[in-house]
Amino acid sequence: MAGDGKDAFFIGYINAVPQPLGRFLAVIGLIVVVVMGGLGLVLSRRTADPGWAVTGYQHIEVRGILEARPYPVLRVPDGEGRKPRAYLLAGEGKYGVQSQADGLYGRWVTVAGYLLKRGTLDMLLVDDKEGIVVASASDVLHPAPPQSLGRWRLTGEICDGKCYSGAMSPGNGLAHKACANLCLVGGVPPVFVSTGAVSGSEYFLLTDDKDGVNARRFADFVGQLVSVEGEIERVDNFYIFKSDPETMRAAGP
Amino acid sequence: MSVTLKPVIWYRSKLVYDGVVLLAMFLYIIAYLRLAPNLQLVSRPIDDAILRMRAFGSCAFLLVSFILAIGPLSRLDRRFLPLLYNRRHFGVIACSVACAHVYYVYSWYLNLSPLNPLLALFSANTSYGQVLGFPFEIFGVLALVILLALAFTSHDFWLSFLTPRLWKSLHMLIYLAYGAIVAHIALGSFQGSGDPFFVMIVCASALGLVGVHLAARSVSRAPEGTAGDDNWVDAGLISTIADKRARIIDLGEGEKVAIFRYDGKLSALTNLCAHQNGPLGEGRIIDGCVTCPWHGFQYRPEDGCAPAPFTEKVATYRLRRDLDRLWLDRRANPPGTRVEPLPVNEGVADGG
Repeated sequence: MAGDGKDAFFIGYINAVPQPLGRFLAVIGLIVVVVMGGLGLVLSRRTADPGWAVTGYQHIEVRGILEARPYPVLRVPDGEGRKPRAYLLAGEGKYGVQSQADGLYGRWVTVAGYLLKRGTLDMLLVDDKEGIVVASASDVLHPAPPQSLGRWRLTGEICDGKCYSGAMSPGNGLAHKACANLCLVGGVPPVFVSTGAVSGSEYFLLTDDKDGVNARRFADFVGQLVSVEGEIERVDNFYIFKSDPETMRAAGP
Repeated sequence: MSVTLKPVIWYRSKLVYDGVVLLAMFLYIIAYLRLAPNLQLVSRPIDDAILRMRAFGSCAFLLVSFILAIGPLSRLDRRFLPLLYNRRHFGVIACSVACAHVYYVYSWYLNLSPLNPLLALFSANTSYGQVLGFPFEIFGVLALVILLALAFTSHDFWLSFLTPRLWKSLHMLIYLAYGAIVAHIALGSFQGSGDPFFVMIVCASALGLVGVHLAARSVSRAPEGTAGDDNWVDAGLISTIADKRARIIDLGEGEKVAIFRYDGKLSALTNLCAHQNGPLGEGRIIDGCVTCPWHGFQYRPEDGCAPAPFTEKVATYRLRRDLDRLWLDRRANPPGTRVEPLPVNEGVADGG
């Protein structure tokens, strides 16, 4: 068809482009530019909500008793008008704070760091410079013993406690699996995010039924929907899921 | 065409081409990173690094999809041929965008851990025995290695050094890279955000590419030469070859010949351009020379030699006629061999 550019012959090193062909190429170029701009807008606009969390900008200092459950947990007993609280601890980067906590378990300490918070999970990212410092003991304040909530089969996702609690947005899912595994290998506590609540909480510190901290046992299941059985304990405001790795199964979407 | 190898020879068409590609890329990234976050329905902002790895990753996928569509679209509609002309620049831009995606993954997901980030890339997730949770990063690594190799060898120096046949084979790996990118997205991003619209875009792009390739294959099939006596094959009627155009004859086993009609004469050359194996038979006779539709490389029809000062040569073939019927000797002459053009006699009906 004459005039639509189909008969034109383009040679790149000759600068003159036959007009009908030039018009066709201009239209194609415009379509490509507009479609790309539109797709960028729509795809980003449709980003899934990572969920609300406190994301680690608040620097705080907390005094309490350091416990191994089996990950380092700072227990702040009730008293002086406040409720008891327990903070999971993690370090900067993809590291836990086991080496800093060694030798201090059972003692009163002051921990300086940044607060992460999601649901019933409170986590302190221990400040590398200030760290965990031995503090004066209190004779009157004692943490309550853990409360057993029985045996449960839960369905949910294994995440690393730091990214999920707010250090990353989002910090879960299979796209994040390698990052989560690196966190767990580095000593960051794993958490189990359940699809259903137990005693009002969907978030659990995940250990195995031997109170082990071998996160490698969970590595193949991190980031995907799984179901697993285990005992649940409540410790102040947070919950521990002592799972039986032998019962862990991939769950359907 | 150039007598010597130069880093880049810029023409106005190349500048416009690169400008449009860069504009499309920048608009996508700006829309993704700067405009859309104000419209997202989220409880807290997505991390900058995660948003960037998503933006650059999806942009690279779209660019590579478009690059792969250019070839078959040019077969289906010749007006897309100019998009082939500078496709290598397009590929280098897409590779750079993919590198930006990798940079953010590397510095955010793989950094600051007890393992070296490169070691972490291969060891953080080793669940190779399952589909859900499969280390999809490995497909991304494969795609990136191929894209880098193709970008690195995209210059004409490598075309000349490796020979067009080997270079072309190497650059066909782009299809393997594309498959790896689709697997990377399907096992990674699809399982993460799970946005049905993005799933639809990826599936439509991949299926659309398969569709245009199949369509192009069906329309570009050259007629096979009918075997005759000895090595001569029937190449059809002379009168059906348009003036300054060619008919492509398929001799089988990937060998095709372009028979050109020009100035009342006929000459036959291999269909493969010496530059990038472009289809000479889809070109034209311009200024007395066969001109490749891809990059404008030119050859004299009677001897297959590029006009001075250029030095490229292609194989020529002998022709004979029986009234209006044309016969082609399937034995190729060495590149640059002169063959006396066959005159188009007055007694033959002129269909050109």
